Amino acid sequence: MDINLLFKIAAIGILVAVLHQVLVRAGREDQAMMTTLAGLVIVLSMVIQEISSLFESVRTLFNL
Amino acid sequence: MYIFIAQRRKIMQILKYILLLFIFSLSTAIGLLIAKMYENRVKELKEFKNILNIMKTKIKFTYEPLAEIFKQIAKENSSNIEKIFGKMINKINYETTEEVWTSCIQESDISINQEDKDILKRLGKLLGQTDVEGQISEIEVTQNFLDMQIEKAEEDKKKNQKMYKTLGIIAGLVFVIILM
Repeated sequence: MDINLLFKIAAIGILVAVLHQVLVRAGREDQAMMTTLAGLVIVLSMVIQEISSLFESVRTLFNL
Repeated sequence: MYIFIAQRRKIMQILKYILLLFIFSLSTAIGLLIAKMYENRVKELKEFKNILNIMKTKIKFTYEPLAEIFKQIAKENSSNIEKIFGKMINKINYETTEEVWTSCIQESDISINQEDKDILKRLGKLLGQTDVEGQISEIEVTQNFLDMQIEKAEEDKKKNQKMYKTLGIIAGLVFVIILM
């Protein structure tokens, strides 16, 4: 696994948190919610390969 | 051969960083541009109010025809609004005042929004049609409406300007990090 992925996810997390704060402060709660969801989806799409490889290795380990 | 491939990879790497920098600066610039629009709207509305004041005084005291008044307003030709009046002078000899006023305000390429334009266009109905008193009172009514719009624009500016600046920078950063 590439360690850069972790840093990338951390950076996106921080930026989405800041974005959420800025939008809430400007009185746009709906958009703040949407950006948080978009951040979640982006991070999930980055992580999904790693998760699938984890399941694969578990399966091979126990011969399922 | 290997050296060649390594070199090419290095060039691609540099190109990638240049493009990422380009995306970041573009997104920041868009944010700043939208923030600037809110500032410009307030400025332009204030300028319009000032120009209406000049028109009112000229109609009241010098009784000059509208073409002459427009010419004096457009004389300096420095801001966008004065350019609109410059355009009006070119048209005013061929069409009625109402047509010239409404079309020039509508087609003007400035930061004020449709609501402001509608208020200004309403003035065109009476401009150059009635006597001095009627025109002056119409200009005063428009000025009062503009005051309200200025207040609204100031509020919008306070609420949105800072947000769009931050939004541009952070959206650029997110794109860069995702693509890195």
